[in-house]
Amino acid sequence: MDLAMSLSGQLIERPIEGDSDELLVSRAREGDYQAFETLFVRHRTLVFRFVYQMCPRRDDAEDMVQEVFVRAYQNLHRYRDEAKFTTWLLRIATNLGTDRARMSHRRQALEQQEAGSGLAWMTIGEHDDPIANLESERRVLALRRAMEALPIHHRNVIILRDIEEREYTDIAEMLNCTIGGAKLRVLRARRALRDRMIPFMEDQR
Amino acid sequence: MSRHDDRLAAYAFGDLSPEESSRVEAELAEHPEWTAAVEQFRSLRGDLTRLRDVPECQLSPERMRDAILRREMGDRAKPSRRLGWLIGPAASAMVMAGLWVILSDASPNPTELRIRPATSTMAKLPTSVSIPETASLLAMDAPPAVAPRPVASRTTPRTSPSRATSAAMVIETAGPSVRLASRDLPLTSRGDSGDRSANLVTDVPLPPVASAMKPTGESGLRPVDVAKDPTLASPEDEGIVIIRPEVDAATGARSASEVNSNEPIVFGG
Repeated sequence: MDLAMSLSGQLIERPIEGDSDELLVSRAREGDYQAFETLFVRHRTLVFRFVYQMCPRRDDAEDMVQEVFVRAYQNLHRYRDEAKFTTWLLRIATNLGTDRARMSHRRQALEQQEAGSGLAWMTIGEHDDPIANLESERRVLALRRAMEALPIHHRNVIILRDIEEREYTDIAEMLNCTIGGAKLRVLRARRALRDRMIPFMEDQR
Repeated sequence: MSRHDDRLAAYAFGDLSPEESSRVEAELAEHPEWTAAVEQFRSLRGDLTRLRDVPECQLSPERMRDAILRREMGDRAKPSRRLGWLIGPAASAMVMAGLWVILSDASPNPTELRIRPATSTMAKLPTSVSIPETASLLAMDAPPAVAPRPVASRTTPRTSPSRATSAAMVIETAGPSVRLASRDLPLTSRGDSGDRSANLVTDVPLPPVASAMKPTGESGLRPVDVAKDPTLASPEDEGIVIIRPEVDAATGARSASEVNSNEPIVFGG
């Protein structure tokens, strides 16, 4: 039997990469920190992708990921197996992101991010044509700005559905609503985003 | 309009079933003006997919482990919430007690200390200062064992009935307290009769103006008015020395002088 050490120094059976999330959660609840670490390694990118859309700075996003997993670890006893572990994680991330969005530090972070990406427009791009690259980056920047300007509940559902392509059932679980309610929220959020982007789209013509 | 937009958005974002999509396409064929709205949503969808490009997460398991350990230890270090409400009242009580002690100790005058040989009356009483009779003026070479600390003496006077040659310590104050020394302090008087020394301990607040500590049987010492108490000799009586503690402003060294003769009294070994 392959043994590992828990945080408290107890010898426990080492988790296997192929173990299900539910099994790893169960072991983590019994004090097996390596099981939790396996969960972390497995899902950190998922959480990072989600939170990066909320605060597009790597440092801040990593801090948020860390906070999400700390909260998850501290609340493992509250996790119910009916929901997928990833759904539960993203729910924690959604709540955390909502809390943070209410704070007023975001403007400065966005300005710094914009300043940092200014040079990248001129040097990195999908197209050979620098003007096309510039135009393409400008659209993305405008979209990011429009996303930032959206209310946080609209932003969350667009990230979940249209960027991370989560199923409506997951979104409904995360938002604690019905599937129909989740679809409705997504539609409203898309409309709100489209309305904010219309001036830019018409300017493109 | 919004309901119509929602259907077009769902179509553009691929949320509709094949049957629903077919119906929308049929409607679009009939209403080409709707095509612009569909194009807007498609464009939006395309741009949103470009936001999927994010940097790689570099948060390491080690950093994660540290964060959890820190948080767990931090939580353990926090005081119990059940007893947390006690902190405020306890702190207030301590502050009040401190203020009470400070205010109750603040008497207006330090600072003259008189030590004299005992009168016959005083010699019969238990005192806190025991000095051999052969010593005159300042008690000389009093053994450390009997060196008095007035604070303790007030509550538990040391009685030495075998020593009929005790002295009384008379204290005059002109300020809040006398602090000649914080521990047993050798005290030396230099005068015509030669050097004399005693151990003197006075680091306690003293009662106000012109008073003396008089033994009160088992209960300790009590302050008395020197001028009114017939058992105490006046400062002019022979055998009474009044000293005034002083601190050298330049060096901080402590010294004293006799009030009447202005002779210096040296503190120290």
